[in-house]
Amino acid sequence: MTAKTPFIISRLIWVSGLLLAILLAAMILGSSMGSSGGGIISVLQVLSGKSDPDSMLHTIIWRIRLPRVLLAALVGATLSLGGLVFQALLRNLLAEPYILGISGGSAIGAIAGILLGLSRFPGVSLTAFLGSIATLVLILVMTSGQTVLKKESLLLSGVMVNAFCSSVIMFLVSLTQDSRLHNIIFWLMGDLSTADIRQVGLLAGMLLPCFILIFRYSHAMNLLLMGKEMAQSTGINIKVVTIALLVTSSFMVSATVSYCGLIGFVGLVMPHLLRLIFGADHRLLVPACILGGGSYLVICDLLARTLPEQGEMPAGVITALIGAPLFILLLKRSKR
Amino acid sequence: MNSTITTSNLSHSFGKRNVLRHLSFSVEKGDFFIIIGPNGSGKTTLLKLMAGILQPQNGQIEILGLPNRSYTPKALAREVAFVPQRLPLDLPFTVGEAVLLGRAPYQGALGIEREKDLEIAEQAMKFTEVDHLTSLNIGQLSGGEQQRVFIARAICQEPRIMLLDEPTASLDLAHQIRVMDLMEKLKVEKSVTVVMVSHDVNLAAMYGDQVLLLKDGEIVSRGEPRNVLSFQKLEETYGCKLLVDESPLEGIPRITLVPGRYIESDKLG
Amino acid sequence: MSLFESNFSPPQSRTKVRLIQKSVIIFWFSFLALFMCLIPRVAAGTFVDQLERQVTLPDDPQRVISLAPSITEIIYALEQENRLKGVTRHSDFPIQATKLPKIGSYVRLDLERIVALNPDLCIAIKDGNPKEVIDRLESFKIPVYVVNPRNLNTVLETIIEIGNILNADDKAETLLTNLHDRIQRVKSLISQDTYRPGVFFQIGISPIVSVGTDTFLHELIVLAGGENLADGKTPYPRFSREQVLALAPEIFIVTSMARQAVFERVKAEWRRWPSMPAVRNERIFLVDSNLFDRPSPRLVDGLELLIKLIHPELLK
Repeated sequence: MTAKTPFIISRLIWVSGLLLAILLAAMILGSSMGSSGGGIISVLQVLSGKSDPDSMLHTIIWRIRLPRVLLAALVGATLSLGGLVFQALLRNLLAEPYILGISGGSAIGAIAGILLGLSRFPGVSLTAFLGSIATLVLILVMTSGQTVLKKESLLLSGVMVNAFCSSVIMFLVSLTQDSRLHNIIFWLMGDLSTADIRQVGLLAGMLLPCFILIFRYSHAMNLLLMGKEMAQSTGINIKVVTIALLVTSSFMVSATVSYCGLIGFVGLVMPHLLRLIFGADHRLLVPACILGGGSYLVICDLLARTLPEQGEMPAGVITALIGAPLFILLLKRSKR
Repeated sequence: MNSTITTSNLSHSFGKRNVLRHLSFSVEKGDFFIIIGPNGSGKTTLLKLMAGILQPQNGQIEILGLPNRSYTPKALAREVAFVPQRLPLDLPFTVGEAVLLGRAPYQGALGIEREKDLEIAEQAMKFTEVDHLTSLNIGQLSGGEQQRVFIARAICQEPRIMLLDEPTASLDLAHQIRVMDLMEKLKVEKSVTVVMVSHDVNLAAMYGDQVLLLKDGEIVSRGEPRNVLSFQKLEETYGCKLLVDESPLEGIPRITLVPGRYIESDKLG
Repeated sequence: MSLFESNFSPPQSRTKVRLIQKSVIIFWFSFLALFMCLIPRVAAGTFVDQLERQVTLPDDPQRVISLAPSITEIIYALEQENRLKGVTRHSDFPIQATKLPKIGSYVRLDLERIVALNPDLCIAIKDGNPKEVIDRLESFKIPVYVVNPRNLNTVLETIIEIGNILNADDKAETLLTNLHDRIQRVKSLISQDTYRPGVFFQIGISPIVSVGTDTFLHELIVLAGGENLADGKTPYPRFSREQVLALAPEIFIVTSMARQAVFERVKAEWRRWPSMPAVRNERIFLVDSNLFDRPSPRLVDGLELLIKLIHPELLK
């Protein structure tokens, strides 16, 4: 560590640059492929404004594919970053963004909205959001007085509440007999297909400040790895940092889940993957999760849309199918 | 003002359990201050209160003349550094990165390392003799080396007060002496006031300028080792038979534990 | 130290915290309990809005996309297939429909494919097509006409409506007359006899699911002179084997989402209970489900099939 210039800044620049390039490439690729064909050259023409605005491809790319690709990037970024933050806060590598009851609560809220016949946006999104906030509050209240179990109590409560919500969900699913069942199932599997550019813009407006705030606390997360006591004695205001990170992450994950359902696995595996590649410094990992997580989901969603001959797979299936072997491979390599 | 830490009527409880009762004492500047006592006497709690990790329920603590509540965590971290008993050995950083974490009280939010930070970290690592390990991961080091890395980290905070919680607890003999010598060096060369909780009364005797003997959250005795470490006080506090004489190292009391068989057969003179 | 353990928590605020904790937990669980009691009612019923929408339709649609298999069938029945440019994945009748470009399944429409086909009209079905996709299609200025056939009568009305918007009124009328006559024939046959045998219609193998009052099947069973043993408020009620045996159905009809092999197994399972009249009299039958759950002209085929199974004696 005898570099003369701030080593971290140059590292940050080249990591972000690399991942940003990958993200843009993934987004262009994602916009060029879909169920009605396309091609990279035509996409580039459309994006640079050189094509006929009335053409079918123009409409499809701007109004269907691009919103979807943007949404995938946002969701991938949010879930990965959420996973990273919860892993740092709870000092547990198995933590993932849904862990504090967010998946259970939002699912129940979404199912309620669907059964009440509300439209996907804003109706179901709103009920899903309220559901996730409700379970989060429940867990925080339940664990606020604990001294005995310490950090495990938050984790355990989250797991228990999620399990409880799962059974409620199964109960509700078993009751539903008409076509709303399809809506429910698609929501539970995660669904990026309803991307509308204005709604995606709204979501981006809610999420980007969260990204910035979390980045501001990235060094604090490094310090948190030493344990709360040592972090506090090194100058971190534990209460403020913990609450800020918890609230921000929960909010952004809830907002994302409310809009597109439960896309799984990204939030668990991306932080680990990126940590294996870039190291454990959160100042690098935060932008890496945002850009790398976004790229990953864009690519997985692309595969989910184009691989099956008919229809599409849930993106969460691809994230696991690719992510798990990739992770194991990297793990093996790093151990040598 | 010669005292760096002053407590007045300090009390603290966890739930219904009173851990500390009405402690009033002060630590003089530049002293090697060692706190001893049986398990459950409140030593660690006292140290954490001094470190600002816990806030006292009753009474006051003054750090460098100011009530400890008046410090922000960052400001306090510039004066007081804390090395806990259980170290985060799973920290996924290299030695160099871990030591640099100690510069946080002087850095902005993102902890961007400047020249000065790197220099101070390097000096701290030289001081604790871990500079040859800079790029190794913490998990690859021995227990003693890990200990010294975290002490280097604490030194980076440029504190005037260094707090350590049973630093010698899991170390072998050579490393125990090494750590204690390190603290003495810190005191002498950098004028740091060292406050240490220890379970080893002999080390307390050898190194302490002042010793505080605690039992059940109350002060049994405070003062120089030869005054505090008398066999009556120690026997009463620890509840076991002890012999206290003078060690070959001049002026230092030596405490010998007495095995049960000597008491039974009355082999003592 | 826990995440939120207060470093400074005097006794009074701690009991207050505990009180707040308790009340939040109680509130949450009572809300959940209330919710769980209400939801079954909601799930079984239909909280839906009416479809009195104003749609601007082209005078002579040339590029029509059907968003449900039943609509595809109707379009072919009206001989307007030359206007049809895209169908859903399961539009399998008539067989020519399978050659048309696919636009996803009716519950999971592929927006991109639909838009790419450049339709001037889409015909959607209320029960099944996701509302969001309909809305988005309209945001692309693609007119969507939504039909809502709930029973035999409204199916016939739907045929007229579709015939109307596709400029095939005369074909629609012919079709309607034909269907109407066939239905009347069945009705008159039934009026000769007051006997209504108990029919159990199994649409789900495991668990055993039958059909309630608010289904096409129920209507057809009644029209064909049978008594639907599973009638009631729940559209798709579940039964245990015991409950079915207690109903003692005289006619047992299994509809195949399944293949013949599965049907044989199901039949063999029921054969173990000779106390059931349908078993004793060997009146267990397998039918094609598509004749009974699609709101299309083939419902009348289904009706005719049913009367053959339920009242064979009337057809002699």
